[in-house]
Order: sequence, then C-alpha cells, then structure tokens
Amino acid sequence: MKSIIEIARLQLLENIRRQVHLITLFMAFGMLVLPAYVNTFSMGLKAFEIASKDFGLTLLSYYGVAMALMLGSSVVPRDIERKTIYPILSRPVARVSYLTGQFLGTSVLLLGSMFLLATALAVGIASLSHHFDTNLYAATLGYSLECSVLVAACLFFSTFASPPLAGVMGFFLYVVGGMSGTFIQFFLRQDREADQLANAVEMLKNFLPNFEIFRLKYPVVHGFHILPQYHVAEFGYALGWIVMLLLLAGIRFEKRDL
Amino acid sequence: MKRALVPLSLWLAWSGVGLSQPRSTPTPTPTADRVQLQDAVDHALGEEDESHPPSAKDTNRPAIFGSMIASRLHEKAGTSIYRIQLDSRFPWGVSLLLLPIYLVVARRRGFRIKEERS
Repeated sequence: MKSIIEIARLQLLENIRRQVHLITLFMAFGMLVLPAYVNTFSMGLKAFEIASKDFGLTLLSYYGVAMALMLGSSVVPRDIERKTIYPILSRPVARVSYLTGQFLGTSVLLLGSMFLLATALAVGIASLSHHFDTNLYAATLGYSLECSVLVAACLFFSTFASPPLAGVMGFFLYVVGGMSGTFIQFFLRQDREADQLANAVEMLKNFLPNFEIFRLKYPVVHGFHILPQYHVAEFGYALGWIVMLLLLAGIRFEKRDL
Repeated sequence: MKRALVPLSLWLAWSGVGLSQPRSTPTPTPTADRVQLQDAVDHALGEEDESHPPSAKDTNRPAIFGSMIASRLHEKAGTSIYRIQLDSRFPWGVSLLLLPIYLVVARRRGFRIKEERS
C-alpha cells in the first residue's frame, strides 16, 4: 500500500512538472467569467443561471474527458520510453501496484482539477445570483468518476497499444458507452434503418461501462433532488470497472518483457 | 492482439462509411407526387386517432419530435439506483474471475525471475 501511495505521489508531481495544472488554471479563469458572459446575452430573462450551469458543466465534462484520454494513454508508455520505469520495477513492487499508483496519481490530479473548476463556476454564478449552489459538486463527482473509469481504460489499452491508438480506443469506449438509447432507437434504427449497427451497438453496450450513470448535469441544472445513495451506487459501479480494468492491465503487463 | 485489431478497425470503417452514405430516394414524378400528396393527406387525417406509433420516418408528424424529446429527457433525468446496482454485478463478477488469473500470472513471472537469477 505504501508503494502505491508513493508511486501515486511521484505521478502527481510528474504531472505538475509537465505543467498540466496551467491548463486547469486557464479553464478555471474561463469558468469564473462564464456566468458574466452569459448574463450579458440573457437580455434580462434571468435565465443566465441555468444557461451558465449547463454550459459550464458541459465544458467541465469535455475538459475531463480530454485530460483523461491524454494523460491515461501516455502514462505507462512515457515511463517505458524514458526508462524511468526500471528503477521502480527493480524494487519489490508488484506490477499491478505500479499501475494502481499511476492510476491514482492521474485520477487525484483530475479530481482536484475538476473540483477547482466547479468551484470557479459556482463562485462565478454566486457573484451574480448571490446563491452558492453546492449541487454543482454532485455533477462534478459524477464526471470525476467517469474520467477515472476512462483513465483506467486508457491505462489498460496503453499496455498493448501505442499512446495515440490507446487514446482513440478510449474515445471509442466513451462514445459507445455513453450513447443514449434514444439516439440508437430514433437515429440509427428508424431514421437510418441501420438495424445491424444498432444491434451491434446495443450488444456492445452490455459489455462496456454505461457512462450515462455518471452524467448528472440535467438534474443539477433543473434543481432535482439527488439522493446520497445514488452517489454510493455510482461510486460502487465506477470502482467495479476500475478494478476490472486495472486487473486486465495487470495481467497484460505481467506477461510483458520490459 | 494487433491481429485482432484489424477486423475491428475494418468493421468500424465499414460502419462509418455506411452512416455517411446518402439514402437513395426515388426521382419525383407526377404520379409519385399524387401518391405522396394522398399519403400526406392520409397521414394528416390519421394523426388524430393515433393509427400508428410515432416513427422517425414520419417527417410530416411533429409528434415524433415530442416523443423523441420525452424519451431523451427521461434518460437525462438519471438512472435508477436499482438499475445501477444490477449493472454493477458485471464488472465486479469479472474482477472476481480475473483475480486468480492475475495471481497465477504474477507467480509465474516471479518463478521466471528466480530461475534467471539462479
């Protein structure tokens, strides 16, 4: 356990050294001024709060997915390329511990970044509406879990594929796993009459993580009450996928000659 | 593993091409126009009694958009906790199956390293 935490700490420091946090700070500034920008165009309709939350949370999710794909797919190959993996694996550290440490370091960075962005958005909205909406953190938690699953998936893909290919495979997983049933029914099946493709997507979705579970933007924006048990359930679901993907990555990585 | 990726890539490319191709539509003729007009009138008359369920092909029935939006809003409202718990069984079950496999693979690598050192 100690080795996992130490590897995670090193990974976190490495990402800070790569100045990943500068992108977050730039985005945070954008989130801070976004409500004021939306308010300028709301023409006194008082709908800026809903529009700002919707737009801000969409930006947050895209940021998280982009970072998860970029960081998750390049962590292990970069260490192998720079040969920094050898001093770590020459010690009595299981390879799955190394992968878990890398995963934790990346996920903690993403979690911190996303909560910083959510705070910036909440402060930006509160400066105009005089109401600090803590429900934004519920949606942010969902997006963070979604990104963590994506990081684990990219980590697994990067054990047998190059970083660009691992990123593309991660993106494919994100698109198919998050594809809505309405899209499959109305667009693929009825409008395009692509029954084969619709069947294939529906079959594939059974074996892929359902990212719709983590998307709480609509309930948060429209003020629906979210039960605390929901967060427990979505955390358990995400953890199941993360454990499974890390074990798959571990099996593949153990067989690999470095 | 790379060999397995080739058919997957081909299938993805084929699916993408299939989606991007325009659908073939018949060239309009005066007879076809009359038939289409009659169809439109029939559809308009039949809209009140819900003679057939809404379909994405019914471009002259705005009900389809209502149905589509309602379906999407229902999805966006969230997934039930019970459904999440049911869905969680798959990854946890597979993880339980993978754990002994990982332990065997890790032990084999340990033996291999010992043999190489000795």
